[in-house]
Amino acid sequence: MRRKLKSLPEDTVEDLAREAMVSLYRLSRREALVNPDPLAATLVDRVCVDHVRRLRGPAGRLDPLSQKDAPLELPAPSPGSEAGVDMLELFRFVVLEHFKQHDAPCHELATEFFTELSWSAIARQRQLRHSTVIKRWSACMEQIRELAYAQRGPVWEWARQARIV
Amino acid sequence: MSTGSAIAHDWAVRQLLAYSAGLLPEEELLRLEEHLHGCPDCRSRLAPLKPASGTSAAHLPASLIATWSRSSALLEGLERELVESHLEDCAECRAELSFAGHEAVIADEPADRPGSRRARTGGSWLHSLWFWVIGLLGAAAGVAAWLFAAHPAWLGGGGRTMPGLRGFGHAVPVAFEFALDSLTAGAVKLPEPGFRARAAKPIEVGAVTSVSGMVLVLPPALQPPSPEASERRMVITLLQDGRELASHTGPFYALGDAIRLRPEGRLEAGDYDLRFALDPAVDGEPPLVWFYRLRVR
Repeated sequence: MRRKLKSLPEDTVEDLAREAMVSLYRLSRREALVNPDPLAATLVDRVCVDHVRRLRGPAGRLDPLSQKDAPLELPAPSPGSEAGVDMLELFRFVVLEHFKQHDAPCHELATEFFTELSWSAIARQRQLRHSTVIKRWSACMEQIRELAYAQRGPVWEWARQARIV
Repeated sequence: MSTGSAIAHDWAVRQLLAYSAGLLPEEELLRLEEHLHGCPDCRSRLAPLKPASGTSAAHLPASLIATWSRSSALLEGLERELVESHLEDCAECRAELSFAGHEAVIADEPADRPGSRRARTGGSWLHSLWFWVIGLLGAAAGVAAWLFAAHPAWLGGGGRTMPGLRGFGHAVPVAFEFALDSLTAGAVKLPEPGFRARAAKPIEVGAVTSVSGMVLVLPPALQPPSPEASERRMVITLLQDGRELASHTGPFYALGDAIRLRPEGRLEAGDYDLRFALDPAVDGEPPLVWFYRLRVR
């Protein structure tokens, strides 16, 4: 982790190591790990990259990183940066959990989209027209926008700051 | 790349985060997916936002579990409730929290409070907490203007604070009924609201049970002034301390002269906010929002 990320504070190393271990543990409970060492290295790599992306904040989160194996520069936290928790993941979790409790069709759509990240792929899987799937999702999305008007807390604040609601 | 396609690409890059959260409006969604089809750069930017193999958005993020002691304490309102209810049901997430050395209970005290477990285990956790807090303060500054415009009642200093939600029991489901007779026995007449008015002093509505519910006679402001306006969408939301208890979306005209809120069982005594949000006449404008504070005995 220290090789991948320069000048990483001790407490952050601890957090990221724990995050990687939780991911490894999660995987180990779903399938037998044949070769855990390289997998652990991959997870550590991914956790470091995700950490840098989160620090960049919503605006810079999707910008390309430097060369794949080169050490990463730790950016100064930008407005809306997420030092601890991946807010996009938490946002998706909250959306899914809300739909799980209140709207089964929207829950199905959200689950598929957050896995595929492609409405075209979902339309193909469901053998529906692209525009039909998107129209169905739009009705679900309105529910989320309504929640964003009424709710407070870090998830909604992050979403508003990122200008996605 | 031509100027036109460069502009289209820049636009697409700016939409990717909203897209990955599932929040891009319909027309933009179609346009972006068309762009993604022919743009490897945008597809490669989107790729890291896919869940890692074997993980799912249906469970608590690993980053939340890893920083549970301090991060969970910052959850509020609906997000806190959803995490709590998920934990009750999900043995996997409870096991992962245990693996990470945490109890499967949402922290309800600031991690840096003197004497707390986190404060005693060293400065590194405190440092991370402040990192988080500073990030949130930055976010709060940006959101403050939005809140002031959309929810003046929250910021209006009406002498009411919003406590955490852990003290509340399970919410009672509440159903809405519309177009009732305004002469219904026990009906409470809502006063005329001001535009974006503060929630005025609480309106006493007595006890509210499943037998008769709570009938509210709507003032002229909450009745469509014209046939055009009657088709606009109205969202009615019942909130308790910022937490949504029930919501209904329908055309403005459907409200009629009076509405009824009927809980399953008895509504817990206390203050509730009833929020009416009417779609604007012109696209892009904010919704018109009115709040009433209802005091249930």
